[in-house]
Amino acid sequence: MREVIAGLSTGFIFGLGLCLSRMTDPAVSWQAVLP
Amino acid sequence: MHPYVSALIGGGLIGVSAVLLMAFSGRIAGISGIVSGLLPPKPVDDRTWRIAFILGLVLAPTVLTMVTGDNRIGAPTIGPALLAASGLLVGVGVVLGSGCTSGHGICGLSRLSPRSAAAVATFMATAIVTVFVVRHVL
Repeated sequence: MREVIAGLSTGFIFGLGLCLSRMTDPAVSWQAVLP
Repeated sequence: MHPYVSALIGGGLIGVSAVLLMAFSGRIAGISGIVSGLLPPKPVDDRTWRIAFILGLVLAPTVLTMVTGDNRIGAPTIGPALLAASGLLVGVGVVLGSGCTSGHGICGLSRLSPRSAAAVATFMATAIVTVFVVRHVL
């Protein structure tokens, strides 16, 4: 059970972080600074 | 929320997640390693936390969509064939490089691993060159 809670919570936090850090707006994306 | 603030919070959450996984389970939050541990022929006796982690990973955008109406990921900007080919190349790359962007870029760099620094420098340089070639050469 401890393994499930640890995996689920850290995976959820990681996924939330990925969603929030994803820059879908091309104007502020890192690709915008590339030639 | 300004995209930079959102990215700052997101990056912080990814870091917190990696630290928690390392502190409580002693494991690296490398997505490719977590997934590959579930695939044959590699026998693993610790499938439970891997499945739970991936479940949590998928659950996050689902919950975010339910709460805010937007998961902030957006639709793919390329077709399914190119997406599949890209995924295959990434898969080959992470096997050859013994880790992916999260494993090397987040966990490896924060642990001051020279191998991860070399891997990050290589895949970032390759990404920059690829973007340039796709935009200006092809």
